[in-house]
Amino acid sequence: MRLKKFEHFEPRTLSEACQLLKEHAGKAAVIAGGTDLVVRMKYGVTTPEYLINLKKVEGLSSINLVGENLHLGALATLTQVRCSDLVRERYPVLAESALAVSAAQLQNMGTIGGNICLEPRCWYFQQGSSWRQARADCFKNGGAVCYMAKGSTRCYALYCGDTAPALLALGAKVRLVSPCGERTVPIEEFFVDNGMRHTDLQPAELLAEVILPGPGAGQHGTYLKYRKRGALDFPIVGVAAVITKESTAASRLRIAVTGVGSSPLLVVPPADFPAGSGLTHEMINRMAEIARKQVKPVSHMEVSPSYRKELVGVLVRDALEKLAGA
Amino acid sequence: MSEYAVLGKRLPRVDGPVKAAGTARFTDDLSLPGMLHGKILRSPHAHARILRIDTTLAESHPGVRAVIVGEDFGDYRYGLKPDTRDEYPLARGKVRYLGEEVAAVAAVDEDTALEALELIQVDYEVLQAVTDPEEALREGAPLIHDDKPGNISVHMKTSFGDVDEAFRQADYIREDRFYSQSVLHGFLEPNAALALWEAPNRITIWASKQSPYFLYRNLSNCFNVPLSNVRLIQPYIGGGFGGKNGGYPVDFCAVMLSKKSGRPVRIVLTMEEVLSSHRRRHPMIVWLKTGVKKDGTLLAHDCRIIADGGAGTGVGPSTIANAFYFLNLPYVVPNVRFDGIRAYTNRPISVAQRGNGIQQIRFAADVQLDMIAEDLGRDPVEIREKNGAYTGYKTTSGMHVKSCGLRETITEAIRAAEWETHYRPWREKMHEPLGRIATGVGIACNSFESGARLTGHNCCTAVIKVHEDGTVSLLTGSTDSGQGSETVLAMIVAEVLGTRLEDVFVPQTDSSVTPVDPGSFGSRVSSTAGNAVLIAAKDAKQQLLKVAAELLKADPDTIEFRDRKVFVREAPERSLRFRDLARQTVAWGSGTTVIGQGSWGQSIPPLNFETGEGDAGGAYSFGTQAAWVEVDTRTGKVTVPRMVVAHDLGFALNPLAVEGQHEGSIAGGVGHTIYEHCVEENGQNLTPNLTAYGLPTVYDLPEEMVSLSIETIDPVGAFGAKESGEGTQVSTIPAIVNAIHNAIGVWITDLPVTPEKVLKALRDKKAQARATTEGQP
Ligand SMILES: Cc1cc2nc3c(=O)[nH]c(=O)nc-3n(C[C@H](O)[C@H](O)[C@H](O)COP(=O)(O)OP(=O)(O)OC[C@H]3O[C@@H](n4cnc5c(N)ncnc54)[C@H](O)[C@@H]3O)c2cc1C
Repeated sequence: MRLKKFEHFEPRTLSEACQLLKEHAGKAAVIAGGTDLVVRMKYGVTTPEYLINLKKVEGLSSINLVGENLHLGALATLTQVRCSDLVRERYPVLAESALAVSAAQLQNMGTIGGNICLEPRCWYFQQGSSWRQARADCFKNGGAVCYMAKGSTRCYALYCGDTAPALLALGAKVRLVSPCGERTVPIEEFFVDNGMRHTDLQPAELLAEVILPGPGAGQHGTYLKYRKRGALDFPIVGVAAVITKESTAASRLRIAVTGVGSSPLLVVPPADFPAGSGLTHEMINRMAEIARKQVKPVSHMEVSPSYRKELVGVLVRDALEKLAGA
Repeated sequence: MSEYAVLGKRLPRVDGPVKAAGTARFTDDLSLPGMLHGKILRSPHAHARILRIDTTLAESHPGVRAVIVGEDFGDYRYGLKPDTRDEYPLARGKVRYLGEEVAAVAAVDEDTALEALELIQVDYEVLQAVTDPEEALREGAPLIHDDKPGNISVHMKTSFGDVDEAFRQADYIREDRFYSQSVLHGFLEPNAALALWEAPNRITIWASKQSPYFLYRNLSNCFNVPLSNVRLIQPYIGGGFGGKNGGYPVDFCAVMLSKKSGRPVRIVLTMEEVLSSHRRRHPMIVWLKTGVKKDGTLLAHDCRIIADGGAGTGVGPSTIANAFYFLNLPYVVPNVRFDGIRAYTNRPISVAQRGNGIQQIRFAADVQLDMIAEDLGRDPVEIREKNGAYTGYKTTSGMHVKSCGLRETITEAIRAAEWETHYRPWREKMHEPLGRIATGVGIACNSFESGARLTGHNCCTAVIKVHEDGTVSLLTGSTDSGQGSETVLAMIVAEVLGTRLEDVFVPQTDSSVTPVDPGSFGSRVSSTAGNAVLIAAKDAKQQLLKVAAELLKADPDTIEFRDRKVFVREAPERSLRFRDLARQTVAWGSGTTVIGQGSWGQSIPPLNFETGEGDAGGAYSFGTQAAWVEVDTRTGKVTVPRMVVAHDLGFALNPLAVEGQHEGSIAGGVGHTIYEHCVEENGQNLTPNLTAYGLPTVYDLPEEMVSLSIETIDPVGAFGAKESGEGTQVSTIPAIVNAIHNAIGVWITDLPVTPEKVLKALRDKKAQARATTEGQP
């Protein structure tokens, strides 16, 4: 497996990077840690002619407090994220999710930005070219079928990033930079449930940083991941749950799930949820059921859609029980 | 075992340091001046006629030195027996599985070779493919080999005792269907070969082979060169497990490309190529009918199997025969009927894999034995003790058990598993509600041939050269493919000559230098080659002893060799250093060279592939495994926190090496039971990479692995040793499956035990229970 020829750029600033992306529109790819991109390049399913490497962009890997908010540079590695005292003290759920990614080597290379933008996965398009020759191209490779959901008119590749659900549950925002300027949007608006284009990144736009709102007092969160093996594997399902006390009488619960669609999904709790009295056993069961019903998995990769749904219920229950006990 | 100075000690492997340090050289690490890189073009169809191959563009591509296709090999086909030669170095006329080798290219570098592959044009006429063995055997199924009607690759039908009468006398009969899936060997070094053809007819090849002398004969036949001109040198091997036994297209192509280009050529497969189109274990459907007496005494097995052979036969006859043989052991079953079919399908070729055909059959038989015990309200331990084979037992089919510690292995295994504390039969706990995590324990027993006896050349030979400084070289054709035999064989030499392990050097196999050998399969090296080494070492010692007797002025019978010293037993002060003896021997009289030689083979007839009568090996190992499982009843996920292996291996030549084998068996068995499966669609493997395929990692293996050796000192093997490499993996599956039943009350008869299957089985059981209660008045 070799790589197709490409030209390699190392811009020093984000605007330079955006400019390069604009110049080579449609033919360029952004590379951070490369642990997702290079695999796809070796398979020949992503064949950029220009690689815009973010490694040399000044300050892109810093983790800083700005007022109450924590700013995580897109280039911060997962190891950096999970070892950062600021993250561990204020957002342990994020540290947990970064630790759940693959294995130590991948955490050392992989970045938070790359993890968020991680390409949705499927057994049919992430294969070598000789493998793919055996069947007609799927949507991802320029064809018109999706082998995950035969007869469908869209691509159902599965989003499997581990940190996104934690970020969604924490109410993170992402700052995006493009040649036309920049914008900051809630992360749930950044994701799109479409296997072909799972983020709202516009042409020549880059993810610059993730901004986490201050946790306040009494925020608890946890990330639970179900995978086939104890290491290395992408999540079959991952669930992050965060409870934030808003006042003495009310708190806010945010649950997000990965592995159920082409983007991570925010599960919407009913308006009365949770009550000031905290998470009762009954509420937990109800929420698990709601979550199970809200997800609509299609992918058959590794497990059936119905089993995936089942897992969502189990993980949501476990996560909430953990939070109730905390 | 203090009678030995070296054997029985926990000595680290001699190849450990270089492998740990990364300095061991594997085929991929080797290169020759002017070497070219080879790449193979594979079929994108599971079944198709090749109408035309046009290589002109590839040939004229700059940097390409040779392009070959099937025709370059004439009509050469290879296989285990004359009537099973159905494999081609490169496809001829037809492709029979997705990924089959169609053409190969040698170029100045890998990139150029890959570019050239894209320039080869192949026109196919796609044929209907059949990827399910039962479908393949149906009338009207597409024919895979024109000369093999019915898609039957192997058919073995045999019977011993009076099975029908036994069933008439049985108090209880059970019939079940079991399925064992397609799993890969899981070696980490992809198949690789570096070949050099020297005109007019000399071949040198470095290839990753666990049984290099298969390929040595293949190459001689294929290229029509005398065996003396085939030099196969064996570099370090990154695991084999049965997937590196014979010659494969990668080897033939490397040689042909070298012949055509006049340059050395190296081909290293990618892991993707290995996982998607190289050999794998036989998937097998087993229908087993068993009759017992009320007290659990086994009376008869009636067994039918359909094995999915893939598109070629390989060593398939031995797989089917093994399945039959090990219906007869480890338990006493006086009446056995067997009908085993190996079907051709449009899938990659099934071959031997650690346990070759026996895992599948013992999974069925040992799980069914637990089912029977449960049905009859009997204890799983007691039913095994009652039926276990014993020393002196001869199966109705003619297998001779010369040593057997099965009962001791049961006792030791259940002791280590704290069985009495943890085991409660399911029938006693079935009315208690299942917790989130249900736990259970299970056991299963095994037996395995110690030293398979195939047809043709079978014996092992060793040559021992004593250097004048007292160090020793051991020449053997028995290959260490990672199992540690190099260490164990060297220990035998050190023991006999009274030197130390580090004084013995075992160069890797080189067919021009080392004696011909059957290879590393059928758990034969330590026991069979071990005996040859023992004889050779004694021969060398005899030569040294003559000189020692003169020097020490003592009767040869009174002289002992131990710890680098040679001395008179009753008067140890009359001694000399081994190295001095070696030096003086060389100079003795008119001068001499100490070369010891020994050959040894099992004195049993070859495997009988037709009737299965007689022995499957020179001796038989026996063992018991106990598994402790935890089942998450909400997700169906099964984990195995603890596993015990108690194995009668005759004698533990090196207990540390044995422990490694036991742990490896658990890893392989846990993978086969729970994690591994080639997920396929129309003959295409959807999981051809190590992330998707999912070999268990250390996190997925039992945290606690208990390894126990039972020594029965077998009369056949070297120093009483029997095998301990494959038998131990035979009972891993049923032990785990039985433990799962003990935990949650369901029988999983279809491998692998995925969480989803477990959950479904639990649901079905609940629904059934509800239906029965509702049905009651
Ligand atoms: C064996 C293996 C196991 C893995 N297991 C897991 C797992 O369990 N969980 C998991 O979540 N991931 C897993 N991964 C995927 C990957 O390693 C991680 O997601 C990693 O965090 C990706 O980060 P990266 O910096 O290496 O991304 P890259 O490969 O550099 O980029 C990934 C994608 O994001 C884009 N991108 C990167 N940075 C930016 C940016 N700043 N702005 C816009 N676009 C950008 C790239 O263009 C590319 O399309 C695994 C990978 C492998 C090879």
